Amino acid sequence: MEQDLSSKLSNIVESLPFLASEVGITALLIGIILTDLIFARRNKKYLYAMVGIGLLGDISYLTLLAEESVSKLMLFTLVQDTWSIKLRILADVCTILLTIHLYFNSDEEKSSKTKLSGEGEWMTMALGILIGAHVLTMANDFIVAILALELMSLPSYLLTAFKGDKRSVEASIKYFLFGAVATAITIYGMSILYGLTGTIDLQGISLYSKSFSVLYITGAILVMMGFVFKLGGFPMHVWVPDVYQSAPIEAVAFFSTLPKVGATVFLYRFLVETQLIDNPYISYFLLATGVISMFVGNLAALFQNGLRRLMGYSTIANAGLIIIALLNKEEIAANALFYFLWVYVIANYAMFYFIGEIEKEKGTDDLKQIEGLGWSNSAVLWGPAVILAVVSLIGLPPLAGFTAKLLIFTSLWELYNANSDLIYIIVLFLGLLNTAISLVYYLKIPFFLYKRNVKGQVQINIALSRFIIILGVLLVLTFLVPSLII
Amino acid sequence: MLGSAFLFSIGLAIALTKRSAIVALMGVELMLNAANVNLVAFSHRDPSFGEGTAFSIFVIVIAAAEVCVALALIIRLFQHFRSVDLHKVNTLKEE
Repeated sequence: MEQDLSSKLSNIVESLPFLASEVGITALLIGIILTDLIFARRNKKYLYAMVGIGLLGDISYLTLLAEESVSKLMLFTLVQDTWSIKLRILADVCTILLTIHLYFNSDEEKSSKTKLSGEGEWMTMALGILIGAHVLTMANDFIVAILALELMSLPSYLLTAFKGDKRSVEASIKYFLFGAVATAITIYGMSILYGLTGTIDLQGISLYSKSFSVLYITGAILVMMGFVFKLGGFPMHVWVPDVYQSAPIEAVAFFSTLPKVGATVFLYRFLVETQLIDNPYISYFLLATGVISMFVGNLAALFQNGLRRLMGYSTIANAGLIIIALLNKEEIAANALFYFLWVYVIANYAMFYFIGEIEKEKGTDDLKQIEGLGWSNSAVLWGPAVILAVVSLIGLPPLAGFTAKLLIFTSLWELYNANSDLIYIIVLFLGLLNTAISLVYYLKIPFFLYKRNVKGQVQINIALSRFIIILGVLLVLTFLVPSLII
Repeated sequence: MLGSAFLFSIGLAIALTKRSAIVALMGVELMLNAANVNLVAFSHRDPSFGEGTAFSIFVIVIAAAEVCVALALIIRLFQHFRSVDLHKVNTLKEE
């Protein structure tokens, strides 16, 4: 026993250097709380800058110095492979985009008047979510996974209610009840799998993957529920439109990107490492979930007048696409998924920067408000950039969204070639049909923006409009040079 | 196993049907505790050293954190709506 304990301790000590990124972010979080407390009553925008710079440092560490570990870390609970490093970079990028959004959006007069302006709280919770996503990309164990999932969820509920008005509190309580039920279902599924296999790490569960017992499959599906909830996929999608409609715009942009990255990568790891993906019932379940969420999202989005709800339903449809992309476990399909996530993050952030600015100027996110804005003087550059983002979300060439969708559908086609199961072809055609449906509502945005004979005027924050342009250009660049990302 | 499944179903039913936000929260707690019962019961047969028990302790901690957040939200809800009845909280609708 003594020997055992000391070997465990040495294992923990050996795996610490691989966690430098997480340790750094935690230190940043504590630093933010302390600076926020010490320098009270002043304009606190520098907190955003501090976090942004810290995360840039983290990204450069991850790209330049981080190494893959040969074995599992921390007593077999964490894994560090190329995927976890790459996806942690993506998670950091999401948070940096959030800090940019907050930095240029914050109301200086208001924040200097009131003592409790919220910068410190915003950053604390955003960093909490970021740590959750980081750990979730590395999780190899149910305990770690569920802790990371909760670390992402709990600050999200609070951030939804951050404006403190009636509607956002309502959306937050709905979000919370759905989220809590989803988490409970996930934990219950994990307890069933633990009962069947006697272990809680993913490799141990793979020993039973040949089993076709009803209980085993039910347990696996229940485990996936909580992560499908984070993605906003079909059975768990009800919260999405409400939250997107009434949460602060920065929070919405953040929720639509970062938790999805974490949930996607854990779902992928769960399916591949436990070899559940070879189980036909599981793949039928995933196909059904994916296709139904695409239909629900796209069909409901057709009838929306508000930009935020429209984007909410569009994220449901995209979640369906992500779930379908999870099915192929080949290396190339994982690359497709990774590429899709990057493109999705960039395009979504461009859209939400745009929506946030429009809303600040006009007071509402109604689609009619953007009529003719594209002809205004300030829109010479950001107007086309918004269109680039929209077209990339549709998935038309010459933009990165096209490549992403093409890669995903190709991986589905390969699945059909490998298994010659007709259902993959059916799903492929349904997916293409959905792309056609989504064309209708996405094109509403450029249509209204550049409506003929109407001239609108709008004054957009110059810095943010520059960032919209940068993101739009990035979408073209990643189409031309995909190796920038992969 | 059967007992915990029973507990889980009761919890799910309560969380989905009850009108009061606090009672729905209690339903969620029941679901989490059903998972706990499962974990502790199965850890008897576990050859390795009590992973299930450790897991159940983490689940208890998670439940506590969740209740903390939920009660904060419910207080805000009560301030705005003067009620915790979920059926009255329906200002967000499809347009």
